[in-house]
Amino acid sequence: MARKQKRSWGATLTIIPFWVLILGAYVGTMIWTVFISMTSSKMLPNSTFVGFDQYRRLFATDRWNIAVHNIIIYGALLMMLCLVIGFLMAVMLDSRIRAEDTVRTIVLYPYAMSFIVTGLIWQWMMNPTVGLEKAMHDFGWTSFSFDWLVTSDKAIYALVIAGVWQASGLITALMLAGLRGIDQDIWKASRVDGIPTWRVYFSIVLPMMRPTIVTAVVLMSLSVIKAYDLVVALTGGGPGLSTDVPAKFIMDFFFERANIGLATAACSVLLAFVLVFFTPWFYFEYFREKKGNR
Amino acid sequence: MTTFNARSVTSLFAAALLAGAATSAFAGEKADVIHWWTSGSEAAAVKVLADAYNKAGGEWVDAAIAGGNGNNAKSIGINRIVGGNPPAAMQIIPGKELDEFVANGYVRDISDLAAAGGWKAAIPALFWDSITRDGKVYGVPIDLHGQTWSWWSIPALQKAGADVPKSWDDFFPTLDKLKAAGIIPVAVSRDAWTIDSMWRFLMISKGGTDLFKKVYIDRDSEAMHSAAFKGVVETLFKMRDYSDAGASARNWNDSTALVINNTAGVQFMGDWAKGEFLNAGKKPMADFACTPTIGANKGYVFGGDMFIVTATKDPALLKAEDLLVNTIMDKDVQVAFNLVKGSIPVRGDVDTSKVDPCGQIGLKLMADPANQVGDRDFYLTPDAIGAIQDLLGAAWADKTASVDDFVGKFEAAISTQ
Repeated sequence: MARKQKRSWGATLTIIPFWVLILGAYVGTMIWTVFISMTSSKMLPNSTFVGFDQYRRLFATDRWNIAVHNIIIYGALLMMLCLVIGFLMAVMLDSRIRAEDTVRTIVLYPYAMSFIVTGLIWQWMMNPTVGLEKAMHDFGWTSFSFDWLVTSDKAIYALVIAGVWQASGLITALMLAGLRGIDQDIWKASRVDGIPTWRVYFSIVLPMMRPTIVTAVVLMSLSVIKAYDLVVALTGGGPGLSTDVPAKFIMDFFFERANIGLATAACSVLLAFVLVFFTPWFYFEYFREKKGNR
Repeated sequence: MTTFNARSVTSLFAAALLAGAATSAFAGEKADVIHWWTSGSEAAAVKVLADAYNKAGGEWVDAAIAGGNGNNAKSIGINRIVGGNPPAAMQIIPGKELDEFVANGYVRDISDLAAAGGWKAAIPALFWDSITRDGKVYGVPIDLHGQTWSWWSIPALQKAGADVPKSWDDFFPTLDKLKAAGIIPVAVSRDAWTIDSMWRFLMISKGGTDLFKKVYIDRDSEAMHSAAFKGVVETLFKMRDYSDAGASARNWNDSTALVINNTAGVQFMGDWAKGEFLNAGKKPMADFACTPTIGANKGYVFGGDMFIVTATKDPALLKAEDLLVNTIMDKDVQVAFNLVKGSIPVRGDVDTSKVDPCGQIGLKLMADPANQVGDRDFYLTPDAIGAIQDLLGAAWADKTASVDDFVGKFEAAISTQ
């Protein structure tokens, strides 16, 4: 306790800019956003207080509900598929294959591409009049049909395909790092005991990789929450509203629809969602061990 | 190098500063103008405007901001205004957008310039209303666009053995013939606003001016539940069968290209599509046909572009703004600008003999005030327009949507404040 009371003013002074930055740039803008969402702001921000009117309208808007529904489907499928594919590819790479570096580069390559490029590539591939379907028809397989991109109830899965293609490489790289971090003695011991390889992966390696998986899920959930570019490039939110997402809803109402009040209300709902669900979980996953060790 | 000491650097700076001050004092009045005219023909048109302004003794500072339908430019303009560094002038769409700028006192009242220039007599009454609030003038109109045209490929029609339909009875048979000839009858794009273009074409051309006005201006519930309105909705729904599978992955200009190279029969789009045809070297009425209406109804839905000038007390800026406003409304400038841009001049008292054949059709329709219908931006908030587009986009994609359901949702959407 004696040490704690003796302050280093130099350190305090050094930290002040960070506090200014955090309070001003992060907390300040958050408070401003929530405040504006309680006003009647349309094209320009104003301070006419209207309480929760914007939220009432938001939740009564079909489009918002579609967007939330879509992001849940997209997020759940993307994370599940990326984790499974990432893990399997990492296991494959970890089994000391030849040309591992080349394969790793190929697998990681999509991640180096922007969402806009990814969206455009897949838009061409999945467009039935110029893409895969036409190619198959030209080869003579005329019954082939792949029109998810232009079919209302399947377009969201087209989005998932492009998203998984883009993100699974990164998850593979993370998983590979995680696998390489497993103590080799565990493998030796399991071989001595004659435990089948799949069982070792499933019962021993996977639980040990929990921190890696958590990191992967955190990274992916952040990219899901802010999903925007891919949707704009791939489907533009269509057909109709079938691939709309909250970020696109927010951007549209901010700029095109001149309704800052409603847009900030949607932002605040996303913020609340992150605060209620993700933050406690992040905290639990990242900090509980350290607290326990202390 | 030794001569290059601190003192000489200082004096160099001083000289540079003096020179800078001198040029700004002696050169013309500076005006920075925010706009979103960045495509080929648009940029060329802006150059016409900038040259005219510079020639009149001003100094045009171009602040072109790319990005579809001006959203980027508008948000930068609004940010600069709210941040206390307003541009001398910025482009906006005539209509409701002006309200908030005026209510917050950001826009200069230019009634005196408008009176001196005789604007009221020279521009369409509807456009006059859209630049005035409480009898004061706040906007500088520059061009008129026809928002609801149909663009037909003449070779495609010939191949199908058909003509541009003269009446609504011919309409679907013509589309059927195109389909039978292996041509995509209607080129549709993925963006909901392009469905909205088609919808308003049907509203004005099949529904008629009265119905259009009752629905869009009066938001008349009875009109929206009338048989005529439902007929328009049914026609729109029926047209879904004449599009192709690739439509929902295409941009509007890709759809125009389909008509240009005769893969598709018709596109419903504003007269900016004409720029694409002309750029591709196509001749109006020889390679493509343009018609704003089918059948007996003769309405012309027009929109346009205008500028607002910032409210200021700075005498230099005021002078620059005066010069800018008068340049934009100059008769010769209006003609020269609109010839390049493909739109038609706002002033009716100018020489329009050089306007292309499609533009002439528009001018002829506009000459009769009974045909003039202002586009939705004149009466609806961007929010309501967006709500209608969401509805149209969803209804176009969902083939199970019923007409009555659509009517109910349309009435709710158009009432969005």
